[in-house]
Amino acid sequence: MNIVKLLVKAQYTGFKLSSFLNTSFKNPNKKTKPIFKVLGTVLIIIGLVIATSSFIFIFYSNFSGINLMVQYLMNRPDGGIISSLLMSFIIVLLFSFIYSNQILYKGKDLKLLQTLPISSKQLISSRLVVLYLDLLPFHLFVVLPALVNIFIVNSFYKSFIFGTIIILFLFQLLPMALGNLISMLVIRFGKKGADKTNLEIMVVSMIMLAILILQTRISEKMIPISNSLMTGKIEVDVISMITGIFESLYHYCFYMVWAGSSLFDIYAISSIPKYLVFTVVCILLIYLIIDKSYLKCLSLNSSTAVKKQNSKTLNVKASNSIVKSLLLREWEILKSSSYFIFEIMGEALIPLILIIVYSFMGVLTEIMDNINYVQSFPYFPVLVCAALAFMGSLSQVSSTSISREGNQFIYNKCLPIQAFDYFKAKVYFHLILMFIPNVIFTIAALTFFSFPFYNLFWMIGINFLLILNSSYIGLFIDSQKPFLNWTSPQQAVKQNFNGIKGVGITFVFFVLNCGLFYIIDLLSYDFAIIGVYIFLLAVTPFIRKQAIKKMEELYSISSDFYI
Amino acid sequence: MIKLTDVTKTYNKASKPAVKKLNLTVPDGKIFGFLGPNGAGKSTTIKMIVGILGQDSGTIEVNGFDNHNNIIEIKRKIGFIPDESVFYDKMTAIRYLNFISDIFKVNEEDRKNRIEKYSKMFELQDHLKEDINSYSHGMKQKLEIISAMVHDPEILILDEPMVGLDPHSSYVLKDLMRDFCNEGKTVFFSTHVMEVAERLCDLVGIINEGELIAQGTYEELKNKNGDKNATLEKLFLDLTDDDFKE
Repeated sequence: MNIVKLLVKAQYTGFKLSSFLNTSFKNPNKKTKPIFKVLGTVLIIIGLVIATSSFIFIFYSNFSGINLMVQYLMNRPDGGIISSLLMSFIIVLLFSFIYSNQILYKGKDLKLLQTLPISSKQLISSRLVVLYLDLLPFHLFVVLPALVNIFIVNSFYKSFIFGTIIILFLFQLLPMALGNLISMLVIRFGKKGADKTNLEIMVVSMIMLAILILQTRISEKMIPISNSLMTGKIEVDVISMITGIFESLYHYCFYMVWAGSSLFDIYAISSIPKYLVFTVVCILLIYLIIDKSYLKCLSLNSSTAVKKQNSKTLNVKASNSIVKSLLLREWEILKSSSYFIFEIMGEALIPLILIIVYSFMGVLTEIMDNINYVQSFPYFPVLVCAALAFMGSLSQVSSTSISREGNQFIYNKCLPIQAFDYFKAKVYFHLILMFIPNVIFTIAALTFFSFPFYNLFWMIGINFLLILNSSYIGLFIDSQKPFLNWTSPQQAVKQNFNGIKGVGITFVFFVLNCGLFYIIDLLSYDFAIIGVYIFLLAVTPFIRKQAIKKMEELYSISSDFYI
Repeated sequence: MIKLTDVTKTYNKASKPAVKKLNLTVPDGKIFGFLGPNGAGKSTTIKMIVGILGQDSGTIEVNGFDNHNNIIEIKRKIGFIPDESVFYDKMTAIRYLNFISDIFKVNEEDRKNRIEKYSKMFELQDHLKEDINSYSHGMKQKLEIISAMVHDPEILILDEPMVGLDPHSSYVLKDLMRDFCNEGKTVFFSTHVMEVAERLCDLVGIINEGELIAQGTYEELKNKNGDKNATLEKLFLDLTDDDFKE
């Protein structure tokens, strides 16, 4: 069998698919009745299908709208597909950088494979196939709705088949290669022996910043248009401004234009050769560079050299609190991988990211302009509170907390620490990451919307209880069967079914509270908030007790599923 | 034969070389024991021979092939047992052995015979259909040995091979190493167990702070040290431990 094929197969059978299915459907907790397990799984699958379909529908509507606009303004049929390709390019580039470090340079099995008679070309090829297959769902998720729209709107024509192949299966190769290249440069030219996590975070932050600047430039152009539409006074030539934006898009994003227009007979003949030549040349160049330094990069990662210590004195600090030490350990685990930091810190900072994006887009300015109208809406404080609580409680901080420990988890059993201390440390860690930013965002929202200050107390109270319960629910789920045999950090978070379950069940809990508010509100608005409060205060001790019980079972001497 | 000439490896330019101007020759049909304190450069040397690391300068030759131009050929000839097992955990042992055999292009008949022979030798035949992640440390070590032998290598390189093995398997491995050498093949292994090295090795090399400080047969080392009754442990400590000398 072809060596590359063998290596890819080994990667999937040895690490990926089976391990995911193992975490997902094998439950060591024999007390759980099969009917509940099946029901839970079905509900989660339905939830995932609904969430995915909603996103696909939103993408479909957006790309369809852009298609119509570009067709009208520029008489081109490919506006939607080009926008989707631009979006996919950015997503694939970002994830390629994050994943390629783990797959190409830090894979657990690389130590074994380096000793086998496999050439670096074969090894790189197999890794790239794995990376390609990992990134394909992201690409398809964004691009398929735009493709379907074109297929529905236009009748079938010759170029469609060839163009579809280019868009579905070739397009992501270039952003993937660029991600690989950046990853290689970070390893190759990063400080030797130093922790590369900070550098990786810096690179991702720079990519994000570039996206934000791009977004801002577009938003700046959109603000006068939006103002004109809101006020009804046409102060600017709206059509020429929108046309200008799309002309810039067609000018600068020529790569996406070549790929997107390959679907249409009138453009295919000129765009396909340009697209193919450009892609082949760029990819060949990039992989020539990567291949040249691949072994060197692996060697740098295999280095056992110890980071040079600057200080001559040892930093010996004693902590008299076990929970504090465990809290610090939680932080160290999070810091151990740039992927953990992106995922977990990203969740904590979602409101901040949205505030920055909306302020650049001018949405906040629009709200400020209409603040009197907004403030007159009686449910507005509740909506703000719900939005902040929603973003604060839907996180994977706790539901992947034990899983993130990986194969180090077993050493917990050797430590003279009660399960309750682990529980406390993990809950506090969750609160530090999710509740403290939530308080800051709540205060900022109160100030921004000029709400009376007393709102702070009930808002913070409700948010605290929701976030606390999301931590308990997460720990309850991850304690049942943490996914410890992961080989790359993304498996511990993104490909961890516990994380999905945690978010799903917390979402149901959140909806339950909203439903309760709605029902009581039919009688009285004031009682609705108090009712939700009473409900949360009543259920919190119960959920907490269940989470502690599960953690005690996990840390008990009889729990040995991971051995 | 393994031949290292002036091999130097530095991980970090600011720090001292992990291996410095190492010259070493292990002839065919010999068991070579590579000894040294922790951090002396043993694992780095082994990693360079098996192809995990490249040297900064110097040459490494294995059975006439140099590692710059013929690394794949070298890897085909080597059976490597690392100090730390690396497996595809979710595979069964037999699937893993098939994977290794496929990589080394071992035909079905040979792989069947060898897997049967070595799994029986190390008492693993009843566990081959089990997932590797259910294996104990010792069982994983045995699986490493079988996978290193499945392609009938010409050179066996072992990094701390006795760690985790039960007495029976340890005995079998020592026998296997001796038989391997009797066929004219080469064994290169690192160990901290001086008694094993003393009894098993035809040649011994002692590395300290990246430099080879002694090389030869046990008898030669004793003569050089001027103590004909010295154990290998005492010789080792004399050469590597300043406190011990004092």
